[in-house]
Amino acid sequence: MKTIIPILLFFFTFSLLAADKMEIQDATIRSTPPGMNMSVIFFKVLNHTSEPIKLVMAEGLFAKKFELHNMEMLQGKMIMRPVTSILINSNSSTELKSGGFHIMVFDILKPIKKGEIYNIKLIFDNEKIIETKVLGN
Amino acid sequence: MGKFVSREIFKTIIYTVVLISVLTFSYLKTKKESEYNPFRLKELNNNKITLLYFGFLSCPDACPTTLSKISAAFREMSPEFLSQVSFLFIDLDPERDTLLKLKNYTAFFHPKIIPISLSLEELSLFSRYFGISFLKVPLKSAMGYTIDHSTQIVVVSPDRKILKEIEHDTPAKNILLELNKLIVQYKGKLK
Repeated sequence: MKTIIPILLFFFTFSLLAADKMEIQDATIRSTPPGMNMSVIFFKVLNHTSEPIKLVMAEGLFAKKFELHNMEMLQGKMIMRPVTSILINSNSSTELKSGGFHIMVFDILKPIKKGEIYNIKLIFDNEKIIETKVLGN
Repeated sequence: MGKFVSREIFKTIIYTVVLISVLTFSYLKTKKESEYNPFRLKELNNNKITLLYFGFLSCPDACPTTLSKISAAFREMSPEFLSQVSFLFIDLDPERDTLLKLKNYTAFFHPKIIPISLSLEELSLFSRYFGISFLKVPLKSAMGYTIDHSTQIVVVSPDRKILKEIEHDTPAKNILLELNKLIVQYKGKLK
């Protein structure tokens, strides 16, 4: 019993620490061919909180405009449309990936290169802002 | 009474004219489509296994994904087999994309990828022939508009038959296996 209490306390403390936590994993941006001034960002957002959260905007200094988009197959055609937000349910995760949600980046100031690191800010509807690094691939 | 009859005659004439116009239009359109020969395009008339992919430069995901996969497959092919395959990237956005931009784009992936720019009218017939549909859609976005489009790769034999369609997200190793198989199958007809 004596050993269980510290273990329980540890997990309780850990869950409290994680309570208001959002996490970004595997953020990548597609490298651009010469002359292309747009790209696309993918990553996984983990929502460790008990509230659903929406990603509403992205920003970065390496491009002029960022938009949230979704892509899906409809009647044999690939359809891409802007969306106003991307939902991440409580204690869940949402993946921005090829063929689904993604961040479109317009008017990039210089070509995106494989292996280079770019900084972005992700803005959520609970006014939380996450700054994260994105790897060119 | 006379007024009523003349109105009826007038209506009949209008209906007849409309009907004749619709029939003539359909006939001419069908004739144009049935007479259309995509193999006039010299890049398609090449005695090779030809792969066709329809896309556009502002396409953020499906097009670069396809070109990356196909390039990866090409890099794994023997030089002899690679010389018997041709890959055409048919541009679906001639309003915005220039041939120079297209060349820079395709060369970034693999020198084997040939960009093709057609007029909108020919593009419509060409894509329909290969079962590809596309639609320009205005967007509230910095893009202005996008092109919804079919994403399959169409495989054409050296004797001008549509052999099959490869889904654009097929892994590179599967594309490679498929192409190698077709090259062996068509050996003798390829140059």
